[in-house]
Amino acid sequence: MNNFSIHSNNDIKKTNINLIVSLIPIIIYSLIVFKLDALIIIASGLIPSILADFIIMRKDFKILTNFNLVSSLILVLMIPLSMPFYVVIVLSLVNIILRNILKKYKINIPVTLIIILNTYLIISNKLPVDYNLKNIFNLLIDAKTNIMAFNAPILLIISFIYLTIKNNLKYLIVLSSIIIFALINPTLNIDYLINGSFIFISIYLLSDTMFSSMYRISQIISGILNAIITSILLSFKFQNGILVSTLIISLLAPLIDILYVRLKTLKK
Amino acid sequence: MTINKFEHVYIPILNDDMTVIPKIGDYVYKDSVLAHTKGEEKQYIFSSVSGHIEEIITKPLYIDGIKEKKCIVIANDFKEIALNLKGTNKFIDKIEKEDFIEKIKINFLTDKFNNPIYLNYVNNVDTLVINTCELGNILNNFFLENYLNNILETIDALIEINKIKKCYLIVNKKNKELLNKIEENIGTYLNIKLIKSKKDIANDEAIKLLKIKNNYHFESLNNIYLIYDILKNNNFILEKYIAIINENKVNYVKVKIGSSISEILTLLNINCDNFIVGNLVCGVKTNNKDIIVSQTLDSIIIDKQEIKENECIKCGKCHITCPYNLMPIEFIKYKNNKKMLEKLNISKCTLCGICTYNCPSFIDLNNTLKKIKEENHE
Repeated sequence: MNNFSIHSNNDIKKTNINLIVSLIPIIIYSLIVFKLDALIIIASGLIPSILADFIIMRKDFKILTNFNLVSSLILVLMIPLSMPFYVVIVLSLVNIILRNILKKYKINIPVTLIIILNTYLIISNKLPVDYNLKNIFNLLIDAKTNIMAFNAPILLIISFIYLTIKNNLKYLIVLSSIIIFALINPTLNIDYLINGSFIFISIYLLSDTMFSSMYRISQIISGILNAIITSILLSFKFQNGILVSTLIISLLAPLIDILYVRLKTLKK
Repeated sequence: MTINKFEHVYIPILNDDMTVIPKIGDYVYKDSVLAHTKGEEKQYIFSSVSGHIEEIITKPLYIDGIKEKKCIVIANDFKEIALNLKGTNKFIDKIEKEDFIEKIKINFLTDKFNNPIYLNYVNNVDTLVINTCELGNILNNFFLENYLNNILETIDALIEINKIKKCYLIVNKKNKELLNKIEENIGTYLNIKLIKSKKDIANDEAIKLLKIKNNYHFESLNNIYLIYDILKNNNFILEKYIAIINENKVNYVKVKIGSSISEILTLLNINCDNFIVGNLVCGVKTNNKDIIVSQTLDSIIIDKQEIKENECIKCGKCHITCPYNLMPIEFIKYKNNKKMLEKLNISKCTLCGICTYNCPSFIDLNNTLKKIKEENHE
């Protein structure tokens, strides 16, 4: 039983709505460009995940009171466009089931699933012809022609500004990560910045509310660490570098927070 | 709306070491001294009604949480016979500082934490801040809408009497009607600087907004209204306004100090099991209708909706919105580690309620922190 009677309107539901709204321009753009292909992949990802969530949560099911829908949407945006729709359905279902089972463990499931999928595609040489690992943000970027690549960062910057204004983004992680990433090796990293994949992952996965550092300084540390780890992995031509680095930082986030609190209190 | 029909009032003795003057069975007048503090710097508790003293019992009060205090029970004879003759002061800004201090001291005028406010004025305040858009304070709008000129006159008097260098009146600029009214009336009060805030803010946020560091004092509109009555009409604090919020309707009622909440609610035909006393953001939910109206009680909120507390999602909003960059979640984590709590600067936490207000998971941080602070203070 709570004691307060008024509350800011930034509850979990509003946070989810803001995240979805921030993704709308990207989704609309992808629907305009890829038409039915994009619609199929989005529908195959979202409908099963909502149904699965409903079956698992039953009476407690409320579509926007957890992050499952947003997580599915972000996952869908990272699945190669040419993947068969049943692969998308399976991945969405696995995402929802694992998120519910592994609630207590702070594991960023969508990132993990995409790493597994990409690794499988690379190892089995089944990488779709239009799928470029640099362009993880697939619904927006036509890797074959690369014609829309420059639009991705523009749309993402709009999303970044929107989420920051709405106090819905740990913007310090995103900024520190992108700035350091750009500074470390401009010639190597420029591709990832231009096609938007690094920015997309920084905004929607690295700064994920539940899997990132809580405090200002630890957020900056997380961002810097992510930029360094990603750059190192990419310099070794490790194709899943951005995602693996994001997963590492997500797993390290609680530790970074603990260390920061320890360091802060150690001074006194 | 004034409610003063109660057969009994329960005058709270705010300090445990106060000396009670009348005996059981004695007749007291409205404004008779019932108790005073020991020592030379005397502060008094006055009777808000006339009648016979029946007994002294313990009743719950809202003073930064619900606390049990001794109360003098007076059987109200409704004669309202006052002991002291009162006149009015035409120019309250011409009152000498010593007189001013004495008047607010004897009235035991306190802040929301029950600290006597006269001490702030004795210590020569440089900056006076009046936050009319204090987060969760529903009573402020009522005072501004109904007593704006009295409020401005009193603020001006406080500045003149205490030689205050700067005075800020913070107003939420979204409340355009009120802002226009203040702008129309503030013209002659050149010492009062109007600050427009984008939103309702806690006093601790106001410190940040104004970039003030020390020697400042926040005065509530409730206290300013009471100071006006003390200075202008030579009254004692016997009555006060409280806001009663029921199903989004707000009733502003003037009640005697010592009135029982149960009787007020019955008179207003309000049925409820639980209600919140105090501030909208950091009040306390209770089912104890025995609570007595004291100077520090501003509002009663009948909140029938149950807000379910969710798990912490680690968004960090409690830290980012904290005016002092504190880490409320760490306080909870180290609640049994006094040393760690000290290192995390728990003493800086003023329980302003900003973290609770902004928590997307509806975690009742404020009351948890209050308990942690109390436990570690002991």
